[in-house]
Amino acid sequence: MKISMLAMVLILIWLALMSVAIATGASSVLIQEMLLTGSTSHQIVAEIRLPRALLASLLGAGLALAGASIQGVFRNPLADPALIGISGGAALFAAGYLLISSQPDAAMLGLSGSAMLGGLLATGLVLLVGGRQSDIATLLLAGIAINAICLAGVGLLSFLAPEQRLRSVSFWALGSFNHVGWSDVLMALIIIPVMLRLLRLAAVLDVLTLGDAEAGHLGINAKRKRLEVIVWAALITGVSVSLVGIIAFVGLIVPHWVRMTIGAKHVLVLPFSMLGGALLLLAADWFSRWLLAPLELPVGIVTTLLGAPIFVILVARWSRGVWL
Amino acid sequence: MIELMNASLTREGRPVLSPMNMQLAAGQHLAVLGPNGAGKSSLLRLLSGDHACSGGWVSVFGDNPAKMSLREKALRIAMLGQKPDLRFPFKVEEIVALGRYPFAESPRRTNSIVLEVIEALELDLLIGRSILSLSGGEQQRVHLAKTLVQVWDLQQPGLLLLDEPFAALDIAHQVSARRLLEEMRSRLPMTVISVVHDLHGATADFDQVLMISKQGQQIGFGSPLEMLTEEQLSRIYGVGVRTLYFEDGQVAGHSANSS
Repeated sequence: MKISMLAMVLILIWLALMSVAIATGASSVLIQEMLLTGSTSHQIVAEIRLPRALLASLLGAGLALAGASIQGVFRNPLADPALIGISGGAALFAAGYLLISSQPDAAMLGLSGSAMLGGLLATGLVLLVGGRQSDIATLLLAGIAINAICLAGVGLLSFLAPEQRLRSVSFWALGSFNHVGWSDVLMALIIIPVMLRLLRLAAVLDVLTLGDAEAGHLGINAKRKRLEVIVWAALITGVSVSLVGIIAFVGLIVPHWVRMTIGAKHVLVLPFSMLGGALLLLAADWFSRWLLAPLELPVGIVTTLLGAPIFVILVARWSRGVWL
Repeated sequence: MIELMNASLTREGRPVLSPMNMQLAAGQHLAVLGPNGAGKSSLLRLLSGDHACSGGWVSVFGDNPAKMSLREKALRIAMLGQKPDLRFPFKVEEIVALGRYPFAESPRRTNSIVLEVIEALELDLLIGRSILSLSGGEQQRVHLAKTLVQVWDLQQPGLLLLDEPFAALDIAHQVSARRLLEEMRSRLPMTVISVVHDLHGATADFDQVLMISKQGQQIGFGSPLEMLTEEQLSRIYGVGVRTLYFEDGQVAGHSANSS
């Protein structure tokens, strides 16, 4: 299939999924009433389902893009923001901010900012502990350790915090779109310029996969570019975690599928990861609402149930020296 | 002119290269010879500017490569290092095209250069294949192609550094790669420095030879006929080496005897 055809098909599937996500759910809506201002159907769609579906798409695109970029700079196809500690650090700092902030609900910028800072610090710690950034096993092990510490920290904060002051541990660890509205979508818009910047770094990411020395011989300061990509990936992850908690594996599964389908060039991998990420998280959120309706599963359970087995297969293949 | 003036290198407190001296005229092809661990690759990294000298100085066409900007260097110095450990399924032609990254040019221009080099190195049949599916020798040829496209249309004096470029290549591909290198050297303002282990054909390809001992000391610098003597080779490799000649007196190769 041609690349442009694949893009068209993915966009059409996304539009179809958007329609399904908007039209279906715990309460039934009447399609003919959806456009009638003041009707219940209009309210459900405009105030709840549309912002939720848009946010799932935007954050899915962002997380998959962050995953693909992080994999590129670490030369590590198994890296994912949630596996290498970025998400855990973001959750810990976001929870800490909620606890000490005097107006926890009003200060979304502060919440996202502290989540980003936490993500960056956790990544720095992972690199410090893991040492060589391209060594798959040490990076993942260091990530697991830092993640465990961060989530234990989130648990401790939740335990110590007064009732209603902090969201639950399961919100941070498993993610949920349950409470989102237009203000969350507006906040998430700040990742768009970051995503555009990462897209512009596609050719640099190609060169970085050759290693630092080779990148230097082709005119690229690998350390500086790696840091830049980590900062942008941490920002996207931080915003996402602060709004909907940790959603793991989107950044791992989607870029992997893209590389298997259309190859490794980042000029294609990055935009197709965004499309695939939007699709996956939108579908996962709809599935999490549909499966036990009217109850809702945290969306992170769905992505983890899907992603973890794939991750196990990838690790098994990697141990045999097979990358794809 | 490429110059080493008492250039030495110490890494993590350990001396890697003792002071080296050499003046290589522009356009020449130098072979760097020495046993494993002698510091040959480190010498290439001094010349590429990856490492700065611990003592003395290095000059590449009048500039210190360690002080040049990465971009400026990328336009004038290309290096084939140890084969990178790739983990993503880039296609052969995509890897080769990475060598054109430093140049602001049209994709069409990049494609035409990439295809020329791919053809010259007989990589045509591998077009469209993932680099991860190739044998070691095939990957080596792809990386050589990537390095050569970087200097394919040199406008100013340039330096090509090759670390064991033919190590994993079969005889036929060694011949085509060496032929391509000579063709480029005749057409471009390009100086070539190659680290080699295989002495076959060394006398024919190289203008100068730099020999380094196991301890990272310069044993000699001169023409292949002066340097590749049985005494010199036996001395640096620590085994008895015999030179074999064709009937017309040309050097056919070298043979080590363990006795």
